[in-house]
Amino acid sequence: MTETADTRLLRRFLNTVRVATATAIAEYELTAGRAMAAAPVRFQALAAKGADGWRFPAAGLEAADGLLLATLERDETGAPARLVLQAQGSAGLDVYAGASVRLLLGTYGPEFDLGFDAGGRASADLTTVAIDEDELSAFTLSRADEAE
Amino acid sequence: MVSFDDVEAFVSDIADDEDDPLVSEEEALPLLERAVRAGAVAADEKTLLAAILEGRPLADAMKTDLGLRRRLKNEWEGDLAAYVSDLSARVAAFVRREREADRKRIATGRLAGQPLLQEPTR
Repeated sequence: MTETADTRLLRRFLNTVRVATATAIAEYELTAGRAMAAAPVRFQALAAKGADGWRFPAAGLEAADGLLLATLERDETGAPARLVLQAQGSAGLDVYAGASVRLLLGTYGPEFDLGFDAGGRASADLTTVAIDEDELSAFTLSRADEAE
Repeated sequence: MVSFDDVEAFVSDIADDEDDPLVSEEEALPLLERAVRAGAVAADEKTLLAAILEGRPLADAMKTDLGLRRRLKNEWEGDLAAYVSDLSARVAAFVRREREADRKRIATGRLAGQPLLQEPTR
């Protein structure tokens, strides 16, 4: 087939997209596994999806290691407003009081850099990001010095 | 629906010149717009493709776009690699259609992708 400038450009475009997407997927598969391994604290809700979709448990969600409890505060419309993390017991306080952490919501959701206060409390302002409530059904937290 | 076999056959057919340079960002953006207008990719997917072409990590590109995350969750069950592979295949199908349209335009005596040039008037 005779190539015009346009068809040649389209061919180069296609080659570029294929190279870039293959590279992005390879890079993602490498780094995603590493990120999961580096995230020491995981929160994972049991699948409890109601007719209106998944809702964050009213009693909160406990970290897999039991040292943190996450609770959700809502605004007047019921939309998620803040995710509050509270260290549990003296063991939790030992680990988290004054600590800086990085919170990753969902698998691909927004990230927050948070600092725990002396009482072992930290809060992520969800009004600053676009997020669905069911993205809060699983999230990870890593110490800031380990997240780099 | 994009036939994977058809697209792969087309790609292996046209992607034989490895010396061709990759397109620049300035060249790519109008083509992405064209792919959106042709219905090959959605407007928010154009943003994801642009980020990929810029070399930004996939996960970073998803973090700021709730619409893409919903699409990934609802249509791809969270399989980001499969979703991006499908995007690439849809771009390939778009290129195939555009080249086929160009071929027809050439066959009917028109310059591909451009309006007919007029004879200069004296």
